[in-house]
Amino acid sequence: MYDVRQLPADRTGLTLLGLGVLCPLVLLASPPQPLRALLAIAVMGFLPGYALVRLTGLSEWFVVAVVSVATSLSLATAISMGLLYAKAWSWQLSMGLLGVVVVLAAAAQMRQIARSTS
Amino acid sequence: MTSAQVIDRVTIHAHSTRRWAGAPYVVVGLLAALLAALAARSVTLPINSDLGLVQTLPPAYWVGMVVLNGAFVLALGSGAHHRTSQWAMATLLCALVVTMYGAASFASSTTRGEVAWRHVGIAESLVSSGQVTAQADAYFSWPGFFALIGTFSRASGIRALDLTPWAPVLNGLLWLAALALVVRALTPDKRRLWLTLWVFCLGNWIDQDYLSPQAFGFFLYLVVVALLLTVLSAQAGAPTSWRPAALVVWWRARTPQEPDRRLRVGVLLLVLLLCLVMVASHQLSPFMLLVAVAALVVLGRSWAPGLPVLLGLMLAIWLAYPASSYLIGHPPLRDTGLGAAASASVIGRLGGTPGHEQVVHVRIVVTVVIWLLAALGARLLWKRRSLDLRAVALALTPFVLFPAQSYGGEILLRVALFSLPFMAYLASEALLGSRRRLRPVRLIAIGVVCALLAVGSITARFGNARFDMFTQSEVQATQKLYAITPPDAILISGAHPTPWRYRDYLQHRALTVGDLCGPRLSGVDCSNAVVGAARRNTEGGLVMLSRASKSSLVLQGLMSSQAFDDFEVALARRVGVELVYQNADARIYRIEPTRV
Repeated sequence: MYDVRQLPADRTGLTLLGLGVLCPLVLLASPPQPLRALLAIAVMGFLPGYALVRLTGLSEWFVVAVVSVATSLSLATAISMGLLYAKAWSWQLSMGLLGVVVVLAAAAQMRQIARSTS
Repeated sequence: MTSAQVIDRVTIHAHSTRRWAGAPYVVVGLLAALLAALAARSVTLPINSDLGLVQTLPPAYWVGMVVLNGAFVLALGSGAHHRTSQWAMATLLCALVVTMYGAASFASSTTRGEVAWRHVGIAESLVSSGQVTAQADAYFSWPGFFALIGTFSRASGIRALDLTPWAPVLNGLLWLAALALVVRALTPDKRRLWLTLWVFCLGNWIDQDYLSPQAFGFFLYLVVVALLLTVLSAQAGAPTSWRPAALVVWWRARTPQEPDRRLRVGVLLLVLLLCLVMVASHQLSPFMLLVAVAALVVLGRSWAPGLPVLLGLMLAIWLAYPASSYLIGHPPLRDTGLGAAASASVIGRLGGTPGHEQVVHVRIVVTVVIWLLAALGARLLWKRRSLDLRAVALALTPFVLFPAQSYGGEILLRVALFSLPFMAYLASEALLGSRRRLRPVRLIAIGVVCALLAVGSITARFGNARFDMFTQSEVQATQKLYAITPPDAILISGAHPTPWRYRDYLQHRALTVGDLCGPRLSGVDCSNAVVGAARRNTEGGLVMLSRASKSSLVLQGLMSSQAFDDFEVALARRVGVELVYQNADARIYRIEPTRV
């Protein structure tokens, strides 16, 4: 089984960090299709979950992939619903908050790695 | 070249040969799927058979389905399920999902089923208003999934209605991915893994995989169960005695399957997030999860014994606060009892035209066949002393909820869906038997069972196609309905199967002739009831009578064709009722309000 821990950890963390900032920002600019749809799928359906799943230490790629999708969709649901209950919903804010989750989780993972190697 | 290098080369060659071992079956399977898809595209609407899509699909579709099932069974027998050739099995499985679940979508790009249209309207109204109007109806007391769809629609720039035609295929693939995690936790046998997924796919006629909160909830349910069976699983021996003291000793002797505490805690937090979202998205799914988790805890096979309590707490808080406005008018324990559930789920559905009754019988047969195979598989495993009680418990726990709530007559459907993954797992044991090598006779038997299940499942799934596949004329009529309706006018359709409520969900009260009149009222009395309901509304109302709504009433035995026609004649003759639009499949009547 392919182990996601074989990925160069700091490089993956940096990539996630970059995507967590870039994807929501590009989405806010309403890019043309199909880029817009792909970015929305990435931000709502994979990236936040993947960043959080990496923090837990789950490693086998298929488990990571499926749990990442479920976690991302759950996070996107929780954030969208929370904003609706707070009467502060906008899709831009939802994307921004999901991006923040990605950045925070990726930063936490990088910090974890730095601690374990020092 | 050293002998070690020679061995390496031979090993690499053997692996690459095995990697492509499934290729011929994939080629045949994909060609069969292509044939089936092209054949399904040739279906024209409206469907005029009481048996639904099954009688309209051309022979080429059935040839494709049988060949696809044959290719899978041969791949299974050839050893293509081996790890290096799993891509082949995965490809065949995807082909099955696309051709089976997508059959109606190949035939028509129009969204199938009224509920999917309604869900789009709810998602749209949530994000348009920017707040949750909990008093509106039950959907707004569990708004999680609709918030997700509304947000995705706005962020991606894709209309929610455009997501619906292929939602069954997408949900089917998500479910199978999560189910693969579950089955891998129960058995290391790759043959059983792939056959379980295949049987699940064939047994899933239940048609809950459209754009719906229950489809989302079921995906989360499977992922949570998979994590409970792996990272959060516990190992426990058999208790030495059933006395309380011995049970406490047995309970304390459990050990976690996953030694890494950090991993367990991290995964438990993810599980809690998934549970919370399930609780906020769907009424029934979290209860199904609650009984499943409780069963694993009782068996001593869960390393998260507090999870049922936490999940119960989440449910209680959600019902007490966000869902309280709905529950005040709808007490959850109103339709309880085995009799009420059986009456609503089975007896109430055994009616209508002979064709519709046949479809209902096929649904029962497909479900019972899988349950019988599962019982046989469980017996075989028991005799071999390798029965995993977790699978049996997870297959049976959904039945606990059967007498608890009739769930609008759908509880048995939901019970069948939630038990299906584990029934399919146990059924695969009965089909495969205990021998390592599958004999030709057994392969033929598996192929025949799979092909018959496929035919039955497609018949059952698309058995309502006469009224849940809408024509372009019906969609155009609905667009016209919304174009001409005054704000706050009441909208009345012939019956629920109508492609409506996808917009202005909160602006218009929606009623149906079926609900207002029932099976007993005569045409004139029915027109009185409909006109009265519209006139009492200050903005009056619009009545849309379509081919699909009439078909649904007649097919399900709720109204005769003559009674429906009599009603329409009586309606058209009323003073203050005017025909404002008509096309080949629908008519719209305007009813003026009573002027005081």
